[in-house]
Amino acid sequence: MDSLSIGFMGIGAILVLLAVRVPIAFALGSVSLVGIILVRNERAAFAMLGSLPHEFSSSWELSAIPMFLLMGAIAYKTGLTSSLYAAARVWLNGLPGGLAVATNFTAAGFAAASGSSVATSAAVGRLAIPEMLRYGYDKALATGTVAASGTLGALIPPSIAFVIYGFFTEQSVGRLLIAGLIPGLLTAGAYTIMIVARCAIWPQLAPRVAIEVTWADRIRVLKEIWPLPLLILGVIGSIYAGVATPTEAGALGAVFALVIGLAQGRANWEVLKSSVMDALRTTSSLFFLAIGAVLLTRFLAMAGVPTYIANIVASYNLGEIELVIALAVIYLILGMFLDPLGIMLLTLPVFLPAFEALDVNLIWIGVIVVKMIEIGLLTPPVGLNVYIVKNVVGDAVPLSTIFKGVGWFLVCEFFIMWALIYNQGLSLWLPSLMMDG
Amino acid sequence: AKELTYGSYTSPTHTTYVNGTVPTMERITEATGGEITFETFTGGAMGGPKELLGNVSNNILDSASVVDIYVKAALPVSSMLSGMIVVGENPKVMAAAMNEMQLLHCPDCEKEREKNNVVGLSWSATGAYHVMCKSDKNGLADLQGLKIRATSSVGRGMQEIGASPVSITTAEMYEAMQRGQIECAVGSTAWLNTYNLKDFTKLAWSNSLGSYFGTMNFAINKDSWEDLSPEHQQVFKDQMAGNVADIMWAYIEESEEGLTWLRENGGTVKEADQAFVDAWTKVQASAVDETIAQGKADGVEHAEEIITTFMGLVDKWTKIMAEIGEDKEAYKQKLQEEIFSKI
Amino acid sequence: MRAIEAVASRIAGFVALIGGVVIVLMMLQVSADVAMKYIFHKPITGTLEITSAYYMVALVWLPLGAVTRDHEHLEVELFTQHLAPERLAWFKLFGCVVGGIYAGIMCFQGVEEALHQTEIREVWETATFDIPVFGARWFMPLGTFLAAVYLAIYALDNLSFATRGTRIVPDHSLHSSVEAALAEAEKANRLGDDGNIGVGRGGGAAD
Ligand code: NA
Ligand code: NA
Repeated sequence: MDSLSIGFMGIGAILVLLAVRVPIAFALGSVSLVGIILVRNERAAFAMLGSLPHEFSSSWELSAIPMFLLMGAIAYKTGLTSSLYAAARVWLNGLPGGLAVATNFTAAGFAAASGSSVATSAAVGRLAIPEMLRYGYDKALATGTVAASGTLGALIPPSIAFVIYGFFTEQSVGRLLIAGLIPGLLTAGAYTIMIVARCAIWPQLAPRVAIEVTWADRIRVLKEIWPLPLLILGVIGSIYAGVATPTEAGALGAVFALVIGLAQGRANWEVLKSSVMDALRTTSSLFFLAIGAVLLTRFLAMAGVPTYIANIVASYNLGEIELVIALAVIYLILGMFLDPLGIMLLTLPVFLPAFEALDVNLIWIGVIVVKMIEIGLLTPPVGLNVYIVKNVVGDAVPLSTIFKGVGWFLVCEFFIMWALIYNQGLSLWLPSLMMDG
Repeated sequence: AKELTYGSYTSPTHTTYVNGTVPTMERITEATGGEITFETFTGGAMGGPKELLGNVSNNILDSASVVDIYVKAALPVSSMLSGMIVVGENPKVMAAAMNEMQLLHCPDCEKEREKNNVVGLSWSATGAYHVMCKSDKNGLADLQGLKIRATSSVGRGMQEIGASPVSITTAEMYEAMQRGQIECAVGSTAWLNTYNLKDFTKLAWSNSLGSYFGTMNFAINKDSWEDLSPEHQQVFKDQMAGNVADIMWAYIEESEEGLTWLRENGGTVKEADQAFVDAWTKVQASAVDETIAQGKADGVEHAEEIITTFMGLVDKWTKIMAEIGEDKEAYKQKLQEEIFSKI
Repeated sequence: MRAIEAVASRIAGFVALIGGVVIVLMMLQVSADVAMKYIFHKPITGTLEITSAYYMVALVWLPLGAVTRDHEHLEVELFTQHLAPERLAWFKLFGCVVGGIYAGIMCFQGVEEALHQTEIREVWETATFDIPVFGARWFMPLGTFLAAVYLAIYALDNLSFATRGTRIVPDHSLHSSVEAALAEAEKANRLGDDGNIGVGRGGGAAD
């Protein structure tokens, strides 16, 4: 059997294993192991299992994830978040789905600053989901909002995805980052409109407070909640000001959350211990699962699946728009299974010559590519952002419910992508204002 | 026909890859009448810099480019040599000397490759290293206490002259410079382009601080190599002089383009002051002895002998380069005569 | 079996607790590094390297035994949720076997790699000096070993339940405080779960 068939059969095998309830991490990893034995040899496959998992975990870039998880856990367990959402509820009572909108922007702020979608969903999930559910918000809406709004992170600077794309294509990272700004805001706006519209049409998704809220109430609740917004702004601000890297800001945020909790008499040894163990468990199971996804990416790369698909498209002599649409569709399909960065690394070498031949603007392509790999974090069956939200909520919300909630955001994404593909100006107008250089 | 996989962690648009590796592969395919072809994985898709050597050893890949300082413990002799970045003022000399050393005069190098189950075919150097900064700097005094990205002997040298060297991954260098976590970086001016440092760089000193010369361009799995017929092995060997010359010329051209770009876009390119030149000369002078001492401390056998042999080759190639000047064909021919015809 | 499991549970819990100490250490050192950088202009040398070479590796791998014990690996319940518990146990048994082999190979290969890296004294180069990093290679074999042990225990447990209808080890499924809060919210709101079709973490005897 040729490698390519083995690759496609591997995908089939994973779907079967997932259906018969083999844990996702084991399904991805074991199929990749067998696949690599078949397309390469036993020695290569076993050796990869001895080193890749270690190398993957030994990462500075990913170290923001446990720190953000820890900060979120401490803020949640010391009760900081519940007072914040109590306040948001009073203030945003007039707005349909007000708490979800607030969560959308909190996550957008976090994500924008951290540059890591997964880290954002980890932190905000812990802060926001229990609070929204406490006020009777629909589970799919609450969890979907957190998973989806995390993806704004790669579009709004700083963004490791743009840095890597820029390095790959020798495009100016500065221009790429600026180019991502309008599409990022467009995405946040579209999400907001969708949330408000849905909650206005189906009020049971986000029940409002029945009582009349006075301005005195509004002012009063503010007095209790000021530390957390301050903390969040501090974390975001320190990253933007260049004072701290995301990992550093996460660590500082965790320390300050603890200090605030202590000052308010709400933190103790038990709170610290359970926060730490929560953050730890989520980190461990998420990384173990991500290692399976990376192994799968390596297996499919060896089998030649991504290049095969990209080559078919590149061979069709498509026009500019058709080629970009084809790219988006392929990223959507590969994004269902592969880790996002892996897709970029494996397909760009094939696509780039085709784009260069047509003289397509590579900054615009960069925005499309980054949008699509972020969408891959949301699509089933392998959607890391959804998985981390699942990990945070535990058995209380089924995974299919989260994917269902995310579905509405994917509908938004369809329109956003349509706008970005047919209107290059949305991506290229801001960079065109920059001076040459 | 046989398809060999090749891994690299640089981008597919990197000049050494486009103008060095790919043309060599094409020539090999042509010379074998299409019998040998390559499937390439760039951008670290099949492993980052720390993984590539192991991936070739274990046959995950047939071949890869391997940067020895990332796998120091696995290639202690090779990385001891290439750690002397500061002596590498002329990259073309260093590349030639390194190839001759590794292939003809260093049994210990061969042993360590054997231990890793790889065959090494050619080495290349980066363009010359320069100080590149976000704002104008005149010389030594301006470097005092300055946060500067530097590695290996350059890092130690910078510390000796009073700067504070910072270790940051190349992937993070861009944002570190943007945010002011570092003010300067020491590296090839090709990085202005490859790592987009031109977005912030306003100054480069024209003084060469050295170059890194430990990139093994074709590290080939030993079993994959032995599967090739002697004729096919010979085709590989015949292409290596051209491979080294192509890479060196491409890298240095891109470095010069970087400097030209900076000059033409409002940046400053100038000599550092005498105080810096003197201080750096001192750093260079002590580098050889320090490397020998460190090598001994790290338990490298024959450290002194190895370094002395290597420095002899550096002298030899300095003389050869003085004779042939900037003639790529002549360089390639000399590499073939002196080194690759003998392997 | 219960006695063996009790020992395994203690060890897995203790090793995870070390991971907890590591995450706190990481939080403190990274924060102190920032503070030192800005207040005294003297960062803590090697923070980046120690974080990525040691802390990260430790906090990913040390908790893996406890994660496996507490059924924290995500799984898709969608197609198997209406099965009778005894029948479901066969599927769970299969999952444990697949996972046990996967984790077992990872452990075995990890030991080999750790031995090799320890022998050659793996180092990372920082700006000015080298730091030894081979010690961190041992976290992965340790974590995957504990995971494999638990998967073996749960394989036997499910086999016993599938064939004889009795569990042989206690249920360790976690009900975190978030879950508890959500359950409470659920009761208070009486909003029916739209997810009759479910996907979740692997529960043990709780199913
Ligand atoms: Na961002
Ligand atoms: Na996906």
